[in-house]
Amino acid sequence: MTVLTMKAPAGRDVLGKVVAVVVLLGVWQVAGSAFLPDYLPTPVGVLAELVPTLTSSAFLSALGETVVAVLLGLVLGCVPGTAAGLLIGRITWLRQLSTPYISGLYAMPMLAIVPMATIWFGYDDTTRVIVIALSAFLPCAVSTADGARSLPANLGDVARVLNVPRSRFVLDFVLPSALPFAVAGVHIAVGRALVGAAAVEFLANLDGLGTFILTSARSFAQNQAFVGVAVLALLGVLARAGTERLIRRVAPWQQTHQD
Amino acid sequence: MSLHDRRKAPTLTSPGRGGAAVTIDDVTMRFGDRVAASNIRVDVAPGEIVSVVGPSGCGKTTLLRAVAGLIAPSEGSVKVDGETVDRTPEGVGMVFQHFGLFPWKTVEANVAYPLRLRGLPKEEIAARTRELIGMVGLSGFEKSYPHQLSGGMQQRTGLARALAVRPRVLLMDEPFGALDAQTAEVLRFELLRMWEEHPITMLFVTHSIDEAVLFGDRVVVLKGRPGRVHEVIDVALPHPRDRAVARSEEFAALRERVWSLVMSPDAGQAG
Repeated sequence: MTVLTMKAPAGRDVLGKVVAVVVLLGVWQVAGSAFLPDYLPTPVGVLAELVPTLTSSAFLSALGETVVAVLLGLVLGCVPGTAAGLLIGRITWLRQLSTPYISGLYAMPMLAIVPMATIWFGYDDTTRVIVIALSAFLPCAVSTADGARSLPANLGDVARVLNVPRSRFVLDFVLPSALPFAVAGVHIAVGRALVGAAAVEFLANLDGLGTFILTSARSFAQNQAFVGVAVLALLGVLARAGTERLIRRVAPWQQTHQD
Repeated sequence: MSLHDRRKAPTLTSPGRGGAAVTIDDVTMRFGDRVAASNIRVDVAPGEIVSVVGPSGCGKTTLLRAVAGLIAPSEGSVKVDGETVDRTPEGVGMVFQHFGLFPWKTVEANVAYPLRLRGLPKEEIAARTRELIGMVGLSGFEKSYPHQLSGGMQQRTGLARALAVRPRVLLMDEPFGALDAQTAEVLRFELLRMWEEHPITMLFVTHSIDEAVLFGDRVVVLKGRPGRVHEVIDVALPHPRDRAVARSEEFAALRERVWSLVMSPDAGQAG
């Protein structure tokens, strides 16, 4: 019963999305070739460029550079970010001390520090990894702190009624309840990491997807540039889908991440 | 020592009932300038059920939390079997309105948690957990997670976990308040049946007057802001308290009496 009633709207949903995509691509193709054929990428043009671009050594090297930097930056940002979040969430004075800075930095676009970062750390890979790590650190810290602070209904009382010792409290209460929030932090961090990577590449002219897009666009290879954009988008979508699944795996009781 | 043994151990006040004595001695609860409850005195005999009712904001949950050792009284003291409560004493179990289950643990693991915490042998934990889950009627749902269960089943799990440590005192914080009316009704009679088998001391905070009369050997009516003991009513209804009792005229009369006490104006009493 449930399966049947669920399937009908899902089918209509998919059909609607397909129609929307086809219409969009059609309008784009016609408009692109009619008005600015030399400046705009078109769906047909992108499709023709797809395989040559994806197999070109310039693209593959750029992809490798960006992916490695993003992965490294994510690890360097998310691990300490999550640890900091746990401490901030559980230690009141630390939370009071750090909240203005953490939320201020969190609200600030990381792009703003890229020009300075290139001067501090040089026009090289170090800057890229640092900016990515910083972009990843903050969402992890903020989200994990939320999770570590807010135990599910009545659980704090349960711990006290059972006289749970401090170490067991962290192990049995704080860590499990913070886990889905930590994953949600990584979920946000991935998106911000890709933005950070592309931004540093633009500014510092490092080998990577951002630079690949920039050089292609400047040499009027619009279709080739667009393949780079699409790959960058795909990376983001895949990573976010992965973390979303992970949240559902580790915390099937959480209803909060169904956007 | 099992619950069963304790029941056999006769006490002076209430032969045949187990559990600890609870003394709430002139307790005042203050939060900053706000006084939540003032000069509360209630003595609960071993094995007795005392219900606490009153309008919201009268401090009944605050009082229960003081008995649980979750907050310290600003004045006065709470004693369980003569020992002053400064943290939750051994053998005091609590059932929460919103169940307080671990969402990441199965029914089985939730119930077993207090036993694991005590480092009991694995076989003993498994046996006791099975017994408890059977007692609250959740056999077959051992591997389910709370979010897969109805509210009633979640509270059954909460009850089983509170009973895991074989408590001398059970503190009930509006345990059926978050459930729909039918489920609450079913659970009330099941809890009463369990209590008849293993009578222990119970302090039962509720906003349901029916529930207060149905469970209580006595009903404490709190009133006013800050809440004070307005009246204590002896409930001389027979045991076991089953549906027949709930339909009796005596029950209806007592309920009316408590109702009018709760609803009467504060003036002259709360002072």
